[in-house]
Amino acid sequence: MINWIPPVTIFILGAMLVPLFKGKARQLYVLTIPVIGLANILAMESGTEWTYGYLRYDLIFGQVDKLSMVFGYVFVIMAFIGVLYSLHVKEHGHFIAGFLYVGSALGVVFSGDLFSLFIFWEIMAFSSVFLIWFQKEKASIDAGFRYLLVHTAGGLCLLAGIVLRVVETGSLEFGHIGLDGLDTYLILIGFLLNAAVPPLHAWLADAYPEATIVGAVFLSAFTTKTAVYVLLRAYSGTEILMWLGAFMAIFGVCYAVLENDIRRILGYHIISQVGYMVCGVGIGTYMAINGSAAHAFAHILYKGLLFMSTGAIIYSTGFRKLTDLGGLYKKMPITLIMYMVAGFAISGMPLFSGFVSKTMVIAAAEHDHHYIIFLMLMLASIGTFLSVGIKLPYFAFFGKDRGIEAKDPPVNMLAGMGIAAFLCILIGVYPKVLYDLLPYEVHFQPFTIPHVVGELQLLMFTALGFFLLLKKLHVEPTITLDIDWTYRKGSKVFMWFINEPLARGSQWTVDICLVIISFLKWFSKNPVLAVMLFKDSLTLRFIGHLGGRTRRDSISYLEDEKKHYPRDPVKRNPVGDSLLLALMFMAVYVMYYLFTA
Amino acid sequence: MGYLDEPKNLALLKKLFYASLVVLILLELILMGIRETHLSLAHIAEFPAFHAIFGFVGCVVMVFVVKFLGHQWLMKEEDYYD
Repeated sequence: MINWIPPVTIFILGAMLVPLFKGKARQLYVLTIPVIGLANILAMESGTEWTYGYLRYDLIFGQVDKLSMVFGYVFVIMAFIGVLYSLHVKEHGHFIAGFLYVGSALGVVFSGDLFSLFIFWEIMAFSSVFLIWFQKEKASIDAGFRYLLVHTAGGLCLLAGIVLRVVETGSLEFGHIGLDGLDTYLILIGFLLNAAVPPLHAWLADAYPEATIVGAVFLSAFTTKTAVYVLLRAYSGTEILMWLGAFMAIFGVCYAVLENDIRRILGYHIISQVGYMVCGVGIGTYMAINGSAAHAFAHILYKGLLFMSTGAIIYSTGFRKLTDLGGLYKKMPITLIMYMVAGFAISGMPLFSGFVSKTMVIAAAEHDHHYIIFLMLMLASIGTFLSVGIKLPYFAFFGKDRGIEAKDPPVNMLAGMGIAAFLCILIGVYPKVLYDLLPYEVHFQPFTIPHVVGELQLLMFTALGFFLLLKKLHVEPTITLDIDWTYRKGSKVFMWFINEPLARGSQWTVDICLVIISFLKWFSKNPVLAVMLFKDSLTLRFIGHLGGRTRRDSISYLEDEKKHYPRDPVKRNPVGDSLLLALMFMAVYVMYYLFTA
Repeated sequence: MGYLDEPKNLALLKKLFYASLVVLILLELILMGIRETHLSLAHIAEFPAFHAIFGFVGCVVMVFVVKFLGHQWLMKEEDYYD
């Protein structure tokens, strides 16, 4: 007897029933769904349940082991925090899209076959895009469409890989895949796109900042982390991922240095942080896999908190760019504290969650003697603290006071932030709560004196660099070019091609056809006379006159004939005309036959 | 008036900040001297104050390189795509 159901069902049913409730009842209802979800997850046990036969294959909705449980726990916790944070939102759509999104992410995590994984993968893209569209501005609608197109392309790539794999292996089972043959590459590309690995990353930094305030909180948690989960399960130990991950960790922080939009800075830091996890997947040792899973867990909470507190700034001030903000620490002190907890957590400050998870990945690189990777990840840590730990709070909360009217957000938003902040500190102070959930036994002790001193040195001297370079680091009202340039500008070239060469070309064909048609219409009125006219004009041109007439007479005769065409048409000699036409067609046919046969 | 509008408070914070940098370096030297403990397993990271130097130099180099690339190439006006 199993006393749990696949978590996806709770959230999808929950989404369907949202419109039945109003006001306070709905607030209670939407909070209840993640609580039921959590209770359900707590009841889950390792094993494979909820298997259905479909055609010749097994669809598995409940493949449970420690790895999927880590993600399951943090997904429902984040769903609760996100719902609490968005409790003031009036539209039903937000919760429906949110629940479908969370549900399908959980569906991916607990699915044991590639087919149901693909279905949930697609629901994830199609439900999450509404969290962007609900912002209802032109920029959001456009960004949403780009988001959807990119994810559809990635989804198709994944589907192609799955189909090839099923044809080759005859099995839909989702387990370790590894790089071996075209199908595995296609599946990997599909996964990497959702993990926002460069050059397949631009959708994230493009779309997340255009989402609604609460939508961005949901978005930051699920898409990239489900991708990390599937990579962990299917591609652990694939060396190329180690390099890609370390590269993207640095890539993200570099872009964040240039950015001005607060949520775009955070978007680039998702890319950077997911880089650590992808790197851990690539290293593939027990410690690295533990590190990736732990970092995904910690990351969802502190990144959610970062998006919640920057969302509070946007909610309260209406501004989203650092160039418009400044001096908020007096007016939004609680938001500042919440932000700093998350900022310290993402930077890996001791006693905050990032320290116990991120350093596990770095230490895994160190233990496995990947010293270049080790240095790359350290460099990314510097960049993280530089932008999220210092630059963003400095220019938003301190810096030049622009006298903006602002206050801390409503109590439900603060409560959501408070829970996330509490968990960030709890994990940072007492890492055992997180380590006990990890797939393998943890032999890693973050709180050794050398480790703490080293980390503090790294961070504090980064801060020194920031303050010495403050002038150089002033924020600028610009946007930053990224890979999305290729399709945003490329689409303009494509549209030009459609509107100019292609449309004109097709118009020419139409014009030519029209000329032919009007000629045939004219010709068919009196073919005999038309042929005679043609013969006469040729004679006139080459001989100079028509038989028995002067040149001038011939010209006026021909003009007169043309003017009165078709005169008295076909009726006069229908049989003869028809015969002529028949002979002409036969002549054409004979010519055609002569040349082609 | 906020806390940071007072020059006196600001000066105090600065002093604390610089003091913390010195303390961190001293701590490492003490660790290396007394227990011969290094902050990192990696041989490249063994010499004293490696983390501090790496943090500072990494930050400065990153800012200069990235800002240079930004100004030369990547940063555009906000209406660039409109």
